[in-house]
Amino acid sequence: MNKKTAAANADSLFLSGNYFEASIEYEYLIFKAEQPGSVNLYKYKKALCYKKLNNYNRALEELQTIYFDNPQNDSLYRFVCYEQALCFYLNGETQKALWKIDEYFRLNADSVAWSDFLPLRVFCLNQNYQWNEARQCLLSFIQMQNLTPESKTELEHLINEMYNRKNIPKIRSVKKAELFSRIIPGAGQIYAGMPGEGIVNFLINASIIAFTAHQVYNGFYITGYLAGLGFFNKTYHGGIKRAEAIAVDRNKELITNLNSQIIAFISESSN
Amino acid sequence: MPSLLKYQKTVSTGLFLFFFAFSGFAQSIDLISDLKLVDTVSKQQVHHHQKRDFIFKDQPKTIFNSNPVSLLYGGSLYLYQNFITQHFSASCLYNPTCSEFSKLAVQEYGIFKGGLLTFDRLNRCNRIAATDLDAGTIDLKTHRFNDSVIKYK
Repeated sequence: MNKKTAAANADSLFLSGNYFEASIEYEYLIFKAEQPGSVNLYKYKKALCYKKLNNYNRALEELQTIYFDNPQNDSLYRFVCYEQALCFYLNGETQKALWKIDEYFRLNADSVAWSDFLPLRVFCLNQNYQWNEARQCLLSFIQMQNLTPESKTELEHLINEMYNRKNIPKIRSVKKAELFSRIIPGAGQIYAGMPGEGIVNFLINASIIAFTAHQVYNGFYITGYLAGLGFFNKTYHGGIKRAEAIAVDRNKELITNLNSQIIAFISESSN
Repeated sequence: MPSLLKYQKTVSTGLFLFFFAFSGFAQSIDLISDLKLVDTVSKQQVHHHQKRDFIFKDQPKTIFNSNPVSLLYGGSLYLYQNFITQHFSASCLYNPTCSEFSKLAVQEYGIFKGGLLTFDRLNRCNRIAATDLDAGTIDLKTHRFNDSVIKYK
């Protein structure tokens, strides 16, 4: 099989949705390719196969091996940077995604080419609770779109409303949730937004303490210590850990909801 | 005439296959589909509202799943998985966790063998047993030792 046929075969496999088979074909092409440009292109396409297979870690591994002699003059650089940033974000590595986007912005002075990166940058900034920067970034994205001046004004108004102090997500401090649960068991869960769970946690801890006190009062010191305090140790520290987990999850949910709103907003404006 | 039509059909199919095979796919950024992917993946990562189902949910009523012992077992497991487990600092060594293992074992082998397997698993879920576990069975996502119910067939 010659390289041209193999490339066409790999591309047709990709287009027909056979991503795993396409990744094998691209691997063969990487092995056979002589020009660095071709190697980079096939590595990029192989990474796209992994992305389609939801294996973002593997896609990143493939993209990391792409080397550019002169990134400013290589059209593939933009696509590689974009996919790297996207895969970092999907892999939960927000800081690295932001770093990749900023690296591309520094190396590429043409701000028109930044447009596709901006929504991703907004999501990363939202994850870092940098609301003002995220708002500015979203406004720049709207400015770059082919929309009428009236539509742009309307969308800008909507963005400003979305990032208004009243409407931005009420982020719960993970440290505060942990501290509250440490002082009063269950208080951290209530603070993090799950009052029912907080009350149950308080009642469990209170009943164990009452049991321990009852045992000690009646002279059963060993039972009180082992069964009472041993069990209390598990539920008390479990409550602290749970309060932190709830705060993290609640914040993640709030940011996901905000990002979903932005995605719906961009999809509608692009139609 | 029919042969001409047949010839035309063959040529057009051949041309379609030729262009499909050699067209390739150009590099482009499909922003909207990527944003939808971001939305889907982000929603999957939010998981604290997940409720665990009752063990005999959606099953037709039989003597095996509607007797008082099974109902007591299923009810206590449901209560434990949804309301109690999150209050403990201890976390299970295995994947699936002991309560999930018990649920799967009872579903797979019935209350008697499932109960015995649960008893065995609970006895193995401690720090002493952990020293004797094979590190090669660690699940990379959950960072726990894989111990599936299928092993006990």
